Amino acid sequence: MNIQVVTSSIKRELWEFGNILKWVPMVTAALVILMPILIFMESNKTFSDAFQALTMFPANFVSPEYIEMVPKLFFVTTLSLFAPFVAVAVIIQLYYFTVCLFDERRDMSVMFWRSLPVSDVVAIIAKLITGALVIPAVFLGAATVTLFIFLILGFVICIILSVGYDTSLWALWIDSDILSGLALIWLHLLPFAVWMLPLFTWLMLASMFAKKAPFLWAILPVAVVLLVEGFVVHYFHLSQPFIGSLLLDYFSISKEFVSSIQGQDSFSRTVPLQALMSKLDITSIIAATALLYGTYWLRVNKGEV
Amino acid sequence: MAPQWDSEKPIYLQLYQQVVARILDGYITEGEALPSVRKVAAEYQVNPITISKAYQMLQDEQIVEKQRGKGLFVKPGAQELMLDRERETFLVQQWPEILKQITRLNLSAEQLLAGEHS
Amino acid sequence: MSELISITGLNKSYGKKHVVNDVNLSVHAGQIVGLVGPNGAGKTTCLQALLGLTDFEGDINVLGHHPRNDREKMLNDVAYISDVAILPKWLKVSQALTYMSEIHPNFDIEKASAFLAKTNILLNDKVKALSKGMVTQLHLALVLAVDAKVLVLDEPTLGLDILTRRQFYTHLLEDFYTEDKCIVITTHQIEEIEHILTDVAFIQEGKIVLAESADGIRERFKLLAVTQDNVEKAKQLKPLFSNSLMGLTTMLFDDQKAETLQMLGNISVPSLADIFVGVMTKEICA
Repeated sequence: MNIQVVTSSIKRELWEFGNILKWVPMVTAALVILMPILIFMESNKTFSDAFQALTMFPANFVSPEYIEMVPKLFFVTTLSLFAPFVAVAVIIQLYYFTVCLFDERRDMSVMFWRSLPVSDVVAIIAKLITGALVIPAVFLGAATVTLFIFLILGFVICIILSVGYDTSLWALWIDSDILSGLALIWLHLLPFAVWMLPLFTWLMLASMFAKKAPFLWAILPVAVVLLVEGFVVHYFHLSQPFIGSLLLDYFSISKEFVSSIQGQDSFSRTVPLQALMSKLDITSIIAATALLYGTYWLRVNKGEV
Repeated sequence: MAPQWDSEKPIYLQLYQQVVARILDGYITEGEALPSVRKVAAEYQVNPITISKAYQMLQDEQIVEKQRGKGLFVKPGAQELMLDRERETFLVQQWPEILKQITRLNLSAEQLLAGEHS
Repeated sequence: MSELISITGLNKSYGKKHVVNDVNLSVHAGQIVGLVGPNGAGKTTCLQALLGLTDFEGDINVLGHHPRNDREKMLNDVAYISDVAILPKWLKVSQALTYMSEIHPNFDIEKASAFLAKTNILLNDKVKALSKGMVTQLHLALVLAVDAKVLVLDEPTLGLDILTRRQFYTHLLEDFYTEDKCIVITTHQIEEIEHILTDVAFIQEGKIVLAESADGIRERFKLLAVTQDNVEKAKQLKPLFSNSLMGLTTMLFDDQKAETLQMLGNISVPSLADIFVGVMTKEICA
């Protein structure tokens, strides 16, 4: 397997979904930038109120007891800025995985792609990487750009208002550790991908298997299993639905973890990352690998339909 | 243009005869190069092996010669050669039959030639 | 000449339906083989098996590779154009060229660009903006640039106007074909490619009913025009089919000596289309 071939295949995926990956992040960014302005216009405060608030802002944080909080505050703000991007990214990722192996079969272009010397392994791995890493990276990138836009805007506004604490403004910014916060957020990309791997590979399998409506094929079997299990549990008065609770536990941050961090005295920026890492589990990776193999097997043996 | 081939004779033979006719009529001159097998195949929509066969026949009959690296060229004197051959074929094979017919119909030389000018 | 494709005992069933039934075929360098048959005869399935696009029973060897186990290596030297317009609609011409040059070791981007420069296709066009003929031209450009040893064409000119069809074969013969390559082509338009083929294989209901060189087939089959008085005698020689019109009966014979037939009427060489109809009809009636 050749790195060049994998890269080219990833490029090919991006070309196919180019429009989505161009416009959706931009629209999200535009909304995120416009939202505060709209909220501000909605409320009855005037410009002078806003300016007053802004000028008070740096003054509050120069005093020593708040210095420690600054990076965390920035981090939380950055997180909330990134949140809509991440939410949209996840939706796009789920959509991508549902159609990535379906569309090419529906328009018969799979016969063109498979008549080229690119192995099925490479094709599937390229799609996995595109969906799990590249697409969210595009959205994180858009979010990062939006963050910088906000920072620059903020900086410019402060200069215009001649907020008198220029030097400490710089210190504020340095203290807020923007870049390391940013790097920390980007670090979530890989653990999140690994956590979601079973879901992604399940969708890929449905995408490969379905002759029509891959989305239904992804959802319905799971829904049916949960329903049946629910009935069985209810009828036989068993303790709890096994599969149902398994899925629920896997996809949510557990209560035990939340209580463990509440024990800590201060909020650490690495909390979300720790949460993610706690979800990683070898069995889920094995399950994902099995699903991926199933997808590969289908493509090799039943790939023509 | 893909010509209409006669279904009776093999195509390579028809192509051979076409080249011969063109040389006799002066459309292809001595020392001129024949178009490549590919070009003819593509133009006439015929497989290249058939064209090669025709070209091989032309070579065997000493009408064209291969110049290394440059292709097939009409041999000098080919036109004369062809003319002689066709004359011989005509005189030996076709003329006796025609002569018989002329005698049978009792046509004189003047009548025959007069027909040409009318 | 060396054998490039060897198919022995090819069988394929979809459920109970036996689509390909013990097919044997051998293609050597320099051959242009026409796989001719009615719809549903199994032509496409045979070609797909050849390309490793479907599983099968039997032995297939293409350029020394097995189409399923050795797909990638085989596909370095094999190219495929199919009537099912299979270039994806969203693909841009420039993207196709870039992708091919990056993943295909034998792709010569200069060749492809030079070919496209002679057409109306622009680099920034998406496939969905191209007409059917232009899509075929684009696909042909990509294939020519790969310079494959084996070219598999599945009804490549289906739905194209005559100008584009002629151009397609012109380019195929002029720019692609050499004596160390081979082409396997299926088509409904036999008359068009009759003279381009070096070999023919008739396939019906999954079986090869005739496999012969183009020259051999013309020597083997004869068309006889008989007058009414000789019809009975001619019928005894077991023609493949006979057709009566306006006092003259035309019969197609396989493997009959010219002398025998000449006594009964005028013989002529049948076209490939005539032979095809005759052989197919005989198989249906037999």
